[in-house]
Amino acid sequence: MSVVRMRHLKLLALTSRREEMLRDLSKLGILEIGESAGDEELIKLTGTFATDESEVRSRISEIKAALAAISRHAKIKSGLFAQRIGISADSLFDIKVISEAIGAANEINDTARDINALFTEEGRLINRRESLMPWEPLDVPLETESGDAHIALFGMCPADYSFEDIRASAEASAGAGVFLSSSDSEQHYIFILAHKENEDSLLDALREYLFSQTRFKDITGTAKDNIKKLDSEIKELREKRDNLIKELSGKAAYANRLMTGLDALEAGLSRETAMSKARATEKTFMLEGWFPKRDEEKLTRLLEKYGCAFEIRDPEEGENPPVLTYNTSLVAPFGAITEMYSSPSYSEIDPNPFLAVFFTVFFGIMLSDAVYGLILALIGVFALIRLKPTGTFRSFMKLAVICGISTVFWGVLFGGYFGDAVGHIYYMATGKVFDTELALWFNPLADPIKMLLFSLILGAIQIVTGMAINAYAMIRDGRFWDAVFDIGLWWILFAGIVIAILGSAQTGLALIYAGAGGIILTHGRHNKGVFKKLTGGLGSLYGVTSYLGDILSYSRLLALSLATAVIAQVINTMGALAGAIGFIIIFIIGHVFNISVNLIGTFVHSARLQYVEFFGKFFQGGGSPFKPLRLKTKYVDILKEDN
Amino acid sequence: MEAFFTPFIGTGLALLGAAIAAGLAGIGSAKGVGIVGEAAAGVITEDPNKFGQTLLLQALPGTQGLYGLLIAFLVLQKIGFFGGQGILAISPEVGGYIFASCLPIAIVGLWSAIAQGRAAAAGVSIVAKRPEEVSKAMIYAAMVETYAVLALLISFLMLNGVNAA
Repeated sequence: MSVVRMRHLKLLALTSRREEMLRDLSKLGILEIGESAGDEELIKLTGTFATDESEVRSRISEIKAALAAISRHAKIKSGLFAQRIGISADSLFDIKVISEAIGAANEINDTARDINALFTEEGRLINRRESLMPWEPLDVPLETESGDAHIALFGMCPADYSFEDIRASAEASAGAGVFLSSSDSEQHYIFILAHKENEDSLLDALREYLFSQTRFKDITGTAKDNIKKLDSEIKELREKRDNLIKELSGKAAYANRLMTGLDALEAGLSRETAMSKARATEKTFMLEGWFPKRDEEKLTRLLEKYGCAFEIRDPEEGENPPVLTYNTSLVAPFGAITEMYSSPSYSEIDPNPFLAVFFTVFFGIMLSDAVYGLILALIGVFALIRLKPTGTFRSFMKLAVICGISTVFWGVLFGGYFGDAVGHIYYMATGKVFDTELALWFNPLADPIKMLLFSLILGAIQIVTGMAINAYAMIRDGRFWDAVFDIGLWWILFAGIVIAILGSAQTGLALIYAGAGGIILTHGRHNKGVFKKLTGGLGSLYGVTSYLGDILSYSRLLALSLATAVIAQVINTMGALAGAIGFIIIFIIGHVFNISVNLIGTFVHSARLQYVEFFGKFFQGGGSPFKPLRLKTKYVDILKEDN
Repeated sequence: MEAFFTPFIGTGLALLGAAIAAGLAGIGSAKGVGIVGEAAAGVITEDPNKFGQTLLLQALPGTQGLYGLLIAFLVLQKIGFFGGQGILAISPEVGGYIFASCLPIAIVGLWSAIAQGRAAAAGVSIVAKRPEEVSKAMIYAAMVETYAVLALLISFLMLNGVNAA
């Protein structure tokens, strides 16, 4: 339930055992390797290891391309829904795994390249066939050229002119024979034969009809023969391509090999990156880093095994160790929500346990439909069992289960089961009006004012909690009076307001005056001069409006729970108007829509209340999350070893 | 003669309110969602894998239309539109109240959805460059929605206070 204490490690080790040691370190996964600080002299005396990161990266992209190629052509499951294979940690260090993966990738990439080349070639042939199509009816070899005594022209005229006009004009001016091959919406495709001596007058006549000549390069025989030849070539290409694709899908079994190799390369890359931060001499190297205090024994055992010289110390003033939060398995998934905002800084109180409670409650209230909650929780459970997700996705699926259960709880209290579907179904089945109140506590639609008050009270609780955390941190850091002035006085003022509203106006007012007076007198204490001190205090008192705004912001709890309930009601009412079958169809589509839209809204607004209203009271953030050197796999699962 | 028409004026005002609540808020959402969609389409040409994330952002300015629909539906329910007995006769005063209660979500829904659409479209460019920060983009857009939520709340409370019968 807190930010884990970190210790700093500085070690000196033999380069000859470097690789072995790094592998063991990454298996342990408890040391974050940082830049080695050192004085100028040390930097002058030492160098850094040469790394081949870019080489590794290009290998990685080759394998990725191969994976993409087989998943495109062969139907293999990828992404979220793939079953991941399990391997031992040591096989990630196996050079054979990598070389096999690269071999497979090269094979696949070659085939994929051939397939692409065939696609391109086919496209070229199809284009050529298209361009010959208009000439198909013409029974003239396309290589026909003008000779000594005659001229022969292939060409096109815009379809705006009538072909008869063109023929008449060419015949009259040059005695030419004009043959129409075909016409489409844009052009007439024509062939013209004439005597050589009439060439000029023929061209003059044709110019008026915007005749443009076509030449067929490297083509012999009629268009019809050529098209037939192209057809058989295209067919051949397609067969060849299909064979290659079949060959490629036969290689789908390589997918596991590729994925293992990919993770092995990534692991190697992270070791390289870590090593690039070390200072090295010919035979030794020096590393610095952070590790959680609780893992000190494990780490020292490993370091001793490799005969390292090392130095361990607590963080010094002004240092910023990486942040690792430790929480129970119920709270831990909420860390993902905090991380979206920022990791807590090292000296800060971990907000996750508090956030977990408030987020869960607010989420449940805003979605507030028991069946929706059940569906959400079941989706989460299904994903966790079937897909065995890792990382952030796993956290979110756990959140779905926790928040889903909370939604069921609040849905039962507020009586939402697919909105008011129970009443509609009862009426359709029996013809009688259903008038039992389903809500265990109360129906927010029937008594929105009560719901509004409830929302604002929850808001006040969260804001006071945030201030209390801040006060605790101040007292812990030895700033007791700051806590009294900056937070205690506000609480006196708040208590006064509550008492004035609920009962005794006199006591309430007295507390309000005391709180406000104290704020004016003390909140400007860091300013210089009496006048500035007082105006500072007044300015701070004006901040009461921001507390008011913060609390009013929680009215969204009411608004969003209304949105879920009323849109569900709209769906049910529309369905009821449409008869039994219509009801079922509208019901299913409508509620799927309502769940998805409201899930987004509920998530975003629950998160916003944490980030803006809650975190604003105490949370600074800005810590850098703890990223130890470890075996982080994307495609395969590492099987636990028993040691 | 006047006594005959009076209830119709009331009913007319109430229906007009429902119409502008659903209509204006719907226009706003359509525009907002459209703005985000245009920005998202640009990102997808570069990287089709970001479809899911951009779709999330595109959905955000859509809620105002739903809020408008919600109020319109409650108005229709209040004046007996769905009941078996037909639409209730409503006095001009009550009709005016109902009309007024539709104004917050109609007006704020229209403007806030467009503003939210712009914020979410800017968020799309966050997704283009740093997809891991999509949640921050969503929070920026959600800040705008606060005011639509408040308007919905006031519309709802006003409508809830009106006694149609």
